[in-house]
Amino acid sequence: MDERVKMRVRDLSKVFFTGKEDFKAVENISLDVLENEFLVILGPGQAGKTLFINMLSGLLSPTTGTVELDGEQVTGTSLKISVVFQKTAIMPWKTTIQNVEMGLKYQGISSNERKKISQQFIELVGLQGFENSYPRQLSGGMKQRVGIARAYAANPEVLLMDEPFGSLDAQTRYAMQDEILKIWETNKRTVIFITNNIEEAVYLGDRVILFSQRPARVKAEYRLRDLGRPRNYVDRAFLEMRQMIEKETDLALE
Amino acid sequence: MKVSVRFIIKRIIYYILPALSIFLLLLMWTAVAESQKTIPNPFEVFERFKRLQDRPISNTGIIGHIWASLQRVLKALGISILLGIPFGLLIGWSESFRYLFKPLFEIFRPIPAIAWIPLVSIWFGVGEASKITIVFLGAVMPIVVNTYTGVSMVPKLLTDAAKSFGASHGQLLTDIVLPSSLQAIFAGIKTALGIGWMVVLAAEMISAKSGLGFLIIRGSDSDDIALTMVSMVFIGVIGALLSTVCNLLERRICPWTNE
Repeated sequence: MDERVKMRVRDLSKVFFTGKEDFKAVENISLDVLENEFLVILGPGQAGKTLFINMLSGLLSPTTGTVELDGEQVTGTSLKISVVFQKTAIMPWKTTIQNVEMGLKYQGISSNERKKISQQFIELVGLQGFENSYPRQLSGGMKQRVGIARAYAANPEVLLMDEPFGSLDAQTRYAMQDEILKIWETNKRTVIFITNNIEEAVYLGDRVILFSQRPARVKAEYRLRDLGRPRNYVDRAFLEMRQMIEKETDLALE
Repeated sequence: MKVSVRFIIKRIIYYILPALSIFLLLLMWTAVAESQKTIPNPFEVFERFKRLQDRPISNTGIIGHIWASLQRVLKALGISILLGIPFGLLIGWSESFRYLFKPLFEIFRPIPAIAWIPLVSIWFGVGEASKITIVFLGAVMPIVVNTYTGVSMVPKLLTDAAKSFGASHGQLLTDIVLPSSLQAIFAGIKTALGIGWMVVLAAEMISAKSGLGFLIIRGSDSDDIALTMVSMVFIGVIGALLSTVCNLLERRICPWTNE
């Protein structure tokens, strides 16, 4: 895997000015994201991880600092970046296929072409047969799959995943972790995956960056490529890495 | 098997209960009519209805009078939808538009449509145009309010998501904000229909040569309470039918809300 820097984050901060005192949510975060790597951002709940990812996607403008994608500064939302949202953010009035093709529709791609591409990603996430179902007819895990297919179908270079499995039950969560790795391996993209679950972080990441409690700061970095893939939750190396991270973590997470 | 039998019995009971409640109403109505002798009983009202078929009032049978009222409501409702939804969308969507028109709207909104009757009569006379205008003034308010509320309640998460996938300002409006507000808009249309049906009767009671409101006043003026009550029954039945039609339409247009 090449080591080209895809995204460069420098001194990124977010401060909210709330009358009396300033509220620091994200403080001076600098990090590089390599092309096609699976980077996990691990941090305790309420640490400002979502704010951080919203600044990467251009939905939120930082108080100070910059985000660069391929050397160009990100100032607003970009078609090169897609987001898988924590609360799915799929449209209740759209069917599975209509949700998946959103990005393509806004890019002005013809209806036939849209259907073809969307179908491909619907099959990739295992939702064939549910193309014309509305979200309320789908389970939590299936809704999140719609969100993942939608992000991939827009054909981005960078995928931001904001605790996508946070609300799923343990069983579904394990299945989705394997699913997301399978998709990533067949469709190599740069992935930034946010979680508050140490086990999930060690299972998924090429690299894990640990955030502190609020205000979010970079606390530590772990390179996990040596663990190889596929990983096993009870391998010795896996458990050692997990323990090492656990010691550094601010709160007992989950 | 046992469960399905119980289910069938339950369904049958659900069909019987409404019939039962209507039967009880007729029974009580008859009892009151017989004991007081001030109002006609259901059979006399039905006789009056049949007589109306043979001897029309204002050259119009009951169907003609129903249609006279109904078409006033539907025309006014159509205009209310055409003007009210875009207006509600605009004040919900554009901040400057909201600051410009919301205060005006809030002042006009509490004025009951019926209060406009004198002014509207000066401007449009006493013909169809003035009745439709008065009904419109009543019906447009809930449509604007609900559309506006629907737009302002669109979850930010959903507009954010659409923005992140490259939606333009116009696409946000047509692809996210409008469909997300549809249920609220429909609730507004249902309220508008109820208000419109109420206002048209009031308008007809004041000045009209046709319509159910006219029949009510004609019955009262000519000591023909049976005629008034025929009209009342039809007002109730038509109102209930309209609301059913509206619900069916909503299910058709917003299929994602179905069970």
